[in-house]
Amino acid sequence: MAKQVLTNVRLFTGGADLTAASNQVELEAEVEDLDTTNFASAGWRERIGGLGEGEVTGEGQWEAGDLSFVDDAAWVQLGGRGPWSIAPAGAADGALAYTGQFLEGSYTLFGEVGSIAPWALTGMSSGPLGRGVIAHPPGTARTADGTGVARNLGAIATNRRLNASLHVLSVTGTPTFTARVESDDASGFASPVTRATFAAVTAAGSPQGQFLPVPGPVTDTWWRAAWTITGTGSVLFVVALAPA
Amino acid sequence: MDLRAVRRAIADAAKAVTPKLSCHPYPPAVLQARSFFVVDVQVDWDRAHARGLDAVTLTARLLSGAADQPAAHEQVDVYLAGAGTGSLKDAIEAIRPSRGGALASSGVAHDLHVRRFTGVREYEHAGGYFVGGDLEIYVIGPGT
Repeated sequence: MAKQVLTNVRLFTGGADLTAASNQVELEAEVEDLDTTNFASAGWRERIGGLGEGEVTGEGQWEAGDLSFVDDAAWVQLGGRGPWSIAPAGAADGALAYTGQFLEGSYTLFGEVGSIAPWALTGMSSGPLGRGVIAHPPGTARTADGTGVARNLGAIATNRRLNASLHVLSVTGTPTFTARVESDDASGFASPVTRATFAAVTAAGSPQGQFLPVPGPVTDTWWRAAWTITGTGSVLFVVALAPA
Repeated sequence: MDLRAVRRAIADAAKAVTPKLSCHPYPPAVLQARSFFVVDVQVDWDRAHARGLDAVTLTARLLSGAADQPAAHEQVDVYLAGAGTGSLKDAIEAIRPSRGGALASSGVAHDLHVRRFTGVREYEHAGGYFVGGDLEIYVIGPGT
């Protein structure tokens, strides 16, 4: 991915796509600096990495109406944990994405007279941050069972995991939608293994977000999103898969 | 955001003031003594990601009458009132969604704000001299 001007950073939190209402998104990953300097360090400090943590901050233009808008979504999620996914250059299938579970610790709204009504959110990571891909893009409504494109995200080592985030953006009709994460040892997915299954979503519970960790060890290197839809209706959703 | 529709919406809104103004979305070829028209546009694209928001600052010119008429100079102040039947700010902002206006429901823009008026002076147009000034109108709307 070449150098670029930021104009299309996609931000999903819970069941809200905040992209078109956001103008600043920052993702920060930090590892604690632990000093291990000793008398044999030859006069220089030595360090090892300690605990890691991440923080997402977003800002933009305030809107309200239902859970697909920032105010409704942020108010419901305040103090709770949920999935946040950030894609730096669009959310096409396979696009680079960072995802994890975050505690929404801060929500700031409104500002100076005459300004566009603003919002600001801060999420603190709960668990490791993952760097991966968009495994199902937001623009395609689904009405029947299906699978996403297979992506080579590598094996998951012991004590590591794959972050799986589901953002259900809208549900129309009366479907029951169940998404899952599958892996296989080859791109053809001749023998897929279900690694995680999200809770079923119906129209009454939408929009919403769900986060599932897929713990290692997993030797399969190919991953994809898959889903079943029963009943009548359509679902718009995003799945992000990211090794962490 | 369709700037043509924004200009027309602002010009149409300004027609509500009294004394009546001849209101135009673009500078007219033939100017009447009391006129209002949009003369300048500044567009700030990409105020939100994925072309979610553009912001436009329009300059609209008020000409209240012939520059050699004292009443025309006083009339400028009537149009600059914050409220009342002569208030251009009030008339234009009447189309805001927060005031039940049709700006958002018509799809023209999300919202607008008449921010300031500047430059009471004489303007020459097509050989005539008029007194008036410029209104700065801030409009936000979808980037697509």
